[in-house]
Parts: sequence; structure tokens; C-alpha cells
Amino acid sequence: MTRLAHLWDMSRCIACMACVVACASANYPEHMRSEKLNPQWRWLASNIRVWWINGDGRPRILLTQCMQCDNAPCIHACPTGASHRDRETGLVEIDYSKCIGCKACVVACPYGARWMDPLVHMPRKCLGPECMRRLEEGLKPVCVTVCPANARDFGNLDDPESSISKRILKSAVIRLREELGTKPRNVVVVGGDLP
Amino acid sequence: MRIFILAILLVALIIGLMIAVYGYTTKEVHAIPWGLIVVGYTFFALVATGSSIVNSLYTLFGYKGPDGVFEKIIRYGVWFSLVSIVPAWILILLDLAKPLEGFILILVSFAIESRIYWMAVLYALFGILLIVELIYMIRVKAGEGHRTFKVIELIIAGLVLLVTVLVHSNLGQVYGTMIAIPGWFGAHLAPLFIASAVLIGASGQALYIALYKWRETAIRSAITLLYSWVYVLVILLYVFILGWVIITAWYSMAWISWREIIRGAFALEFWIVEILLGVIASLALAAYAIMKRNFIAMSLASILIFVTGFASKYSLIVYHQVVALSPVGLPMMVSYTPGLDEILMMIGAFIAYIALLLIGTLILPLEPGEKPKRLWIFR
Repeated sequence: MTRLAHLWDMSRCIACMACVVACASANYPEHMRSEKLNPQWRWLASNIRVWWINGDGRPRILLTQCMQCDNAPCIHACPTGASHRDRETGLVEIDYSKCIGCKACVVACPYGARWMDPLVHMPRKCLGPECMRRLEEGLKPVCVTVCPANARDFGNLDDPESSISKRILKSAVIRLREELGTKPRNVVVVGGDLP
Repeated sequence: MRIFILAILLVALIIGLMIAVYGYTTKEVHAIPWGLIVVGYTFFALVATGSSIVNSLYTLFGYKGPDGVFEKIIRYGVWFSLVSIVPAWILILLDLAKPLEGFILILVSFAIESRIYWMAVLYALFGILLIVELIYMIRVKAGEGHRTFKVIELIIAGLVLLVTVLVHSNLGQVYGTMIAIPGWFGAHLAPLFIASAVLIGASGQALYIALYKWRETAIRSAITLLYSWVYVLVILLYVFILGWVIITAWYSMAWISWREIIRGAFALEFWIVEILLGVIASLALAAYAIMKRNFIAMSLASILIFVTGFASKYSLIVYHQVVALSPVGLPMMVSYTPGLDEILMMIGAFIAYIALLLIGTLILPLEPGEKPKRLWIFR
């Protein structure tokens, strides 16, 4: 089985935001010329959300995107089946021909990973259209490609030979808010290489 | 004169719908996904279903009310329940990106895991059953003669109550299954919705019936007693459930938003509007109305309960989204004020609702024993 997921290495990230901008400009170029970017997040029309955390007097950032949960609340909440899991990639996707824009998936996501597109009033999430196209061509999502610090990776968790699996094996990783039972696939690397 | 009033109401209905549609065309994305429109939808849905529960006291349980008043007002009550679901439908459809296809897409998808799918099914059933009940009530003078008619009437009333309870239960689950919003998560919302629905449904119904019956001394006195008793009993029940919701929240993540409501940014609104006016003043007025059979006190209590009922739905739906948890479980607050688009949709739906309510009262035979004259379906 294929279980695609993202990895974000907190210990390597230099907070340059190249991934955020790349995501916005590659996936939603029409928004880059629009005055309405992402009013819900008050942010760029990007699928990557930035959280500023003030802890211990030292500000830190956390970058999140769709966690590709194995037990995804957005899928359970969707009244039309528009939010679904793709059988081939295992990714949580939106079928826009079925989506009615009720925003239940946006409310349901405990990671705040979905945003409402002000141009079409439909929910958006990672992976965006351009990244999906790249995936079909065997390429990695744009955020992974542009990262100058090699803080990002993407691949099949069920393939032990994939770069993401190898990185997870030798790193200290966490999954966000696992206590909710959503079984998020995306991992956050919090420490350097394990011995 | 009747035709003139009807024409004015029809114009008001069209204007209301136009304002709502104009609001839809200017729709924007706001800081929280479910804002004023969803509050309005939930409020009117609860008005309709709560009013229907009050009707069931007579239609199903045979309670005739003080001085047998229910018999004289029941058709008004059923019409009020039926028409109150219309603004809820208008608002929820306008909240969608695809209002015209939305309802059909939900029904044909059979996404039975989704609470919203069941909401659409149950509201459709609720509307259909109330239409059947009203038509049956007008066409057949049940209770007089044929036993079969009485049995059919009871079956319809039973189905209406069953669907009403299911609607509340499911609406509670729409919010209560959202793990992302700790202030909603849990089993407590269904009973809270039922108690709140009976209160705002009864208060809306009381105001509507009072508008037409305030000149008739016997009915005025009887409805004063009937609705005031409903208020006293259900306010006490509501406070009991709300108290438990807050006590439970104290020990869980739900406290992050409840804390802001009880002693934080929204505390003034909670204590003054919801508790002082919605509970204490309403309870005092209703108790006074019972003791003195005071129609004014009952009417004031109805207004207070109706308005503060809306405020409490706003608080429940909006503030628990405004104070949310970040992906690392830390509290964060976003700023939300209803946009002009949302306000226009609300005003439009409300004008259309009032116009439709009054149009129906003009053309339907709602008086006891009144023969249908105009609409063929009732003959």
C-alpha cells in the first residue's frame, strides 16, 4: 500500500518561507494577482500554514499542512463524499464536482489545514493542483524542491527505501496531536540524527 | 383590504429574498468557517423544531392546555413550526458555494457517515411531515366521530415528534463530533439544543399567536399561563444542562473557550445577556405572569427569551471557533465580526420569514373548525 506523507524538519528549518511562497505561486497563481489572498488565515493563498509560538521567551515557528490523517475527520464530516481518500496514493483529496462548499471539513480539521478560497468559496488543502501534477510526473511537491535547508521531504511511508522512511528512522520525530486519534501521517523532526 | 395587505406582504417576501440573494452575491470568506449565517440557520431550525415539540403536547399527548386553549391555537402553532424552517433552509443554502445543487448533491451522495447528510434528510422529512400534519388537521376534523382519523392523526404527530427529536440529536452531533472544537465536542449539545429549542420555539410561537389573539380575553389569559409554565420549567432544565456543560468543560480542553465566555473576552455578554436577561429576568417575568395571569409579563419574557436565545446560539457557535487550539494544542484567538454579506443574508431571510408567516396566516384556515376556502389542497 502507498501511504504518502510530508516530513518537516524543525531542527533544520531556517524560517525563510520559501516553501510557503512556492506553494502559493505554483498552486494558486491566480491569487498572487488578487487582493483576496487567504482571508481566513490572513495569509498567502498557500497550503502551508505558519504558527508563531512564543514559548520560554524564545519565539518559534511551526509549519503545518494537511496531515493526510489515516482517520481523517474531514472525510467523516463531508456530507457529499467530496473529501475522500485516493485509493492509489492514499492521499486525502477533494473532488470539486461533489464539493458544495459547506465548510464542514474546514471546521472538522484539528490542524486548521484547510482554508476557504475566496475566489471560488471552496476549501483548499495540500496537495494543491500543481503539486498533484508534479506527483503524477514522479516529482516531489514544490515545497520540498525549493527548500534551501533540506528541511522537507515527501514520500511513501510504507516503502522502507524511500528517503522519507530513512530520515524518519534516524531522527527523533513527532506527530502532531496524536491524542485526538486522527492518526496523522505527516511527521515533524524535532531532533538531529539518532546514533 | 385583505388583498392590499396580501400584496404588501408579497412585495416584502420578494424584497427579503432579493436582499438575501444580494448578500450571497457579495459573499466573502471570514476568519471562522461557520459564522453568522450558520448561527441564523441553527437558530431558526431550533425555533421550528422547538415549536413543534410544544405542539406535540396537544397533537400527541392530548394535553389541551389551560381552558382548552390548545384546540384554538394548534393550527397557528403548526403553521408557525412549518414556516420557521424556511429561513433555516434559505440561510444554509446561501451559506453553500453551490446553493442550487447543494441539497441534491447531499441527498444523492448517501454519505451516511456525515452528520450533515442526515441533517438534510431529517429536515426534508420534518418539512414534509409538518405539511402533511397541517393539511390533515385542516381537512379532517379529527376527534369528532371516526376513530381511524384520530389514529392517523396520532401516527402523524408521533412521527413529527420522533423526527424532531432525531433532528436535535443529529444537530447536537454535527457540532458535538467536531474534535477540532473542544467547546463543542461531547454528548451534551443534543440535550442543550432540545431545551433551548423548546424555549425559543415556544417564545416565537407565543409572540406570533399573541399578535393575532391579544384582543380575545379568554385566549390571552390562557396562553399567558400556558407559555409562562413552559418557560419556567424549561428555563430551569436549560440552566441545569448548561451548568453541567460548564462543569464538564472545567476539567477538559473545552475550558479554553468556555473560560473566555465565562470570565474572559465575552464574559459581559454571557452574564448580562444570556444569564441576567435570558435566565433570571425571563424566569422572574414568567413566574410573575403565572401568578398574576399577566399577559404583558409573558410577552416581555417571550421577547427576552427569543432575543437572548439568538445571542446564546451566537455565543455557542462563534466563540468556540474564535478561541481555538493550534496544532500543538496551544490556545489561540482569531478576530471575527459578521460581514455585511452575512448581515444582508440574515436580514433578507428574516424579512422573507415574517412575510411568509403573515401571508400564510391570511390565506390559511387556521381558526378552529374554519373551512378552507381558497387553496384546493385543503378541501
